[in-house]
Amino acid sequence: MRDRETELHYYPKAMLSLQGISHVLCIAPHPDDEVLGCGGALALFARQGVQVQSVIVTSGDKALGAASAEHAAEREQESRRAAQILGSEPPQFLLFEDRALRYSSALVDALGQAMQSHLVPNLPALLLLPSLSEPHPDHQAVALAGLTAAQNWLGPLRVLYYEVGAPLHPNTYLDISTVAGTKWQAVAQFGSQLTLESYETHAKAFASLRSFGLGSGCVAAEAFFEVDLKKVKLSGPLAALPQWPWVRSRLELANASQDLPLVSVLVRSMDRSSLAETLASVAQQTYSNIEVVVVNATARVHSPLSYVPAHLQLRLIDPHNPLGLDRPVAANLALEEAQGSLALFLDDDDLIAPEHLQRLVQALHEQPRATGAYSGVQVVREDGEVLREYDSPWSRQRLACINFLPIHAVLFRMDAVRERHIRFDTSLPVLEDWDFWRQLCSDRELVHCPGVTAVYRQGLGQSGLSDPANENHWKAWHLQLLQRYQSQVPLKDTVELLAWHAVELDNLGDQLSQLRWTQKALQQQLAQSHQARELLQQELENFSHQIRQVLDDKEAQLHRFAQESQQALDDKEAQLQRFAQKNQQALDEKEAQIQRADLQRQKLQEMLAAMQAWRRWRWIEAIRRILGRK
Amino acid sequence: MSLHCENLLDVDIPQACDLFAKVFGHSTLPAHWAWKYQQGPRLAGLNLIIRSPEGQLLGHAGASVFAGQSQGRSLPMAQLSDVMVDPAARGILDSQGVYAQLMRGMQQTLQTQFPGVFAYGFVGIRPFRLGARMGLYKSQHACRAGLMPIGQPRGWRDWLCTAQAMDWQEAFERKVFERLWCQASPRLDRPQLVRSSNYMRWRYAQHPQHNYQLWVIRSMARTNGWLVTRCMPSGQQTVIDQLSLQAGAGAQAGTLTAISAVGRALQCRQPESPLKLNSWSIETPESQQLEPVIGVEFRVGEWHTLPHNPVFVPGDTDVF
Repeated sequence: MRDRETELHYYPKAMLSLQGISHVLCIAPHPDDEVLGCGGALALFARQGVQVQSVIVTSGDKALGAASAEHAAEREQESRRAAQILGSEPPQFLLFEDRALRYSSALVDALGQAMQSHLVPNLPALLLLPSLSEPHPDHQAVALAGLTAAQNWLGPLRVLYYEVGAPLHPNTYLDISTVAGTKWQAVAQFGSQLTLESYETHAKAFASLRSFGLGSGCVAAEAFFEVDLKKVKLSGPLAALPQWPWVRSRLELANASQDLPLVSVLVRSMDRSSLAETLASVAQQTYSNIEVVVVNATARVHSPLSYVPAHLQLRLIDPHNPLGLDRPVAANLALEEAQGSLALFLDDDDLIAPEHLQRLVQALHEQPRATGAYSGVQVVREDGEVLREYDSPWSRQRLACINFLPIHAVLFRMDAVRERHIRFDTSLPVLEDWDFWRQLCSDRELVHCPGVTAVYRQGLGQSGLSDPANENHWKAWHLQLLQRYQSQVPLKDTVELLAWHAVELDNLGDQLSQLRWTQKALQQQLAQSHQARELLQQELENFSHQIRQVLDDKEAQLHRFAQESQQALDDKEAQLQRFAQKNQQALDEKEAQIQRADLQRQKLQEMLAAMQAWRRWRWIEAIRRILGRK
Repeated sequence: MSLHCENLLDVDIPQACDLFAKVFGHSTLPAHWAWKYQQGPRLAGLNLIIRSPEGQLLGHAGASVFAGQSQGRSLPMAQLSDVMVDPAARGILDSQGVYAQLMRGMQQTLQTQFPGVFAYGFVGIRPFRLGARMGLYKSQHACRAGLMPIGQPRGWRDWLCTAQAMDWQEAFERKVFERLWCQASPRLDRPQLVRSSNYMRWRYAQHPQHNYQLWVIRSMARTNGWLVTRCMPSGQQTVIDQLSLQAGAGAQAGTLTAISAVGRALQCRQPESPLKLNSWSIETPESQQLEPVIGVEFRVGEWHTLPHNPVFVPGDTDVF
């Protein structure tokens, strides 16, 4: 392993030539992607006189959250104005659902038709697609579908991935310095989006980044990854694309159409009300490339399937048979109508979980030699009660003796069916699926994907399969079929089969013993846990008793303290009252004393006044003054 | 005039029913009163009254306390109801008025008997403003009824959900409510009453006046919720109560899908006339114009600090 590589090999800088291209078709997931990703290229090609056309897959009507027809119209108008500025043709809008684009034959077909409309088969064309490395899921779906459509195109075609939301690993550059102003003018038309995000700033940053190393004269550039279509066809995307396929593979994301084979879901419809629920369970699959073939098995015209969502590609096959179709006949008709390379039967009262098809397709992708893959199925009663589960490991011997594969458990390869012309036995009113599985697995294996991802509703059907009183009860037909198979296989094989079952029985016996032992151990553990819990409970009770005791003591203490305090308070109050009374008494006495003294003083003053008023006293006073004694 | 709260006695119930008629303009029966305040798996039924010196009933405030839960923890929940003040005793809005006394009495009673209780009630705009000014109410949920046209689903995902009418007795025998509550309750992030069999039996199956239809909701053939409807006297089918296993962000979508499934089942019964289903979970431009019933928290001690406010259904009140 080497430590380094030169720029030219590690980051090849091939410049995109504007020569030798007669038509340019840009596929954009949303209005504005065509300008942000490759507006410069579109303008330059248009100036060269090349016919430049954009096809916008969705109208971006959910950019503000909920779908809005007004917003879609506004965005379409913005795109038209931008196209006019760039000099390209008015864009075509495919009106797929925004933020819900999935890789599907519908999308591939729509893009193929767009190519038919806007490219000329014999003239060299350039197809611009959003890169597979883009973060937006709609961009990824368009990248995959566009690449598939390109692979189907027979004329001379170059495919370039462009970048919008994240930098790609480029191998092709285009200097757009001369048309940069035109590009920013076109970007400015998308006012409804520029208020949500600084797209113009980001696009300018991309343009500046991509001009790095392209010479001082280059101030703005666009970068692309040119896909080698031949290499993709021959060696797959891992060989033809840079690092994204590894990243995507690790995330279980597809890199090319090979990873997303068309799955035909085949429905034999008795036109029951449960069909809507069944089809909704198909519509919610995480796997996207699905076609649904509904065969009308009734003797009447089928009710319209108006409830089917737009993203589900569905065909109603109506054979207009006045007698209706038997189950095997309807199944065979569905097989003939199926276009997918994989198929799954789904009765019109059964359900599949969202991940059902994805898991099974992945299992077949990992096991290319397997003829089919199956998962677990839960059998439920009409009232929702679970009756049992089918989720046994694969065993040809088990299948030889009993059908453990409900019909919608198995996704099978159609090549085996087509090559060996495998069909349902039309003489069988029930268990026709068992016979079909036996044929399908005569020389190849099935892969088991453990875990329940499908529901079989017992009691809704009309086959009589589970009704012991019905002539179609499975037991009678099971016996009949076993007799038929027994006559077809040599005795040696039958003996081996019996031996396998005997061994299996022993194994099951061992497993049962083991389970019983485990159960016993678990019961002991449970008993110990109960004991421990009781002890803890007891401890808890003791503890809460102690706490309660402490609380009670504290409360009593507090009560006593409150009582004592109250008593002390009362005493103090009484003391204070006594003191106040005493003081009051003393005060009263003092006041009385003062009053008495006042009275005495008053009397003395009166006496003094009387004395002064006495005549003899005046004489004596005068004599005293004369004698100088005063 | 000195007023004080006291507990309502059984002999006072006819007088309380008279006050009810005087205040709300329609009558209630002692049997309904008994159902409402004395029966069911309640933790308590509280009825406080205030009398005039002559013994006349001047006011009443009731509360039904049931087991509830919030974020997986048990939480006693008290629904305040029938707060009634005789028109002759109104007008005194100070702390000595009948209304204030009743409310204070109820706060003290609840706080003493059920510390930490989440008390709530349903009021019109004007009583709400009065209660909010007095610091008694805090708005939790503006309950507005919206109409959903039924018969056709809103989108293909609605087909993934089906509704099956079920007899109440059958549901009790199959332990539908216990099983679903056990599965749903750990995921419920908003306070709500425990929807046990006993509660459902009392609230719906044994209601003295109304008939309710129970629907079991299934998705992928598994039971993942129930819904209760009632045909109102006007003939309007109304969603009264529901429980869904979907919680968090998908809860509202799950609710609408369940309503849509019930709508389709109802429409099958009357294929001729296009129906609409009324629910507090449906928001339409028309419903936004309606004056709401305010689901309020009634302050007992401190306000509760809840990460998510409760979302009430008509069945949380006794009106529906």
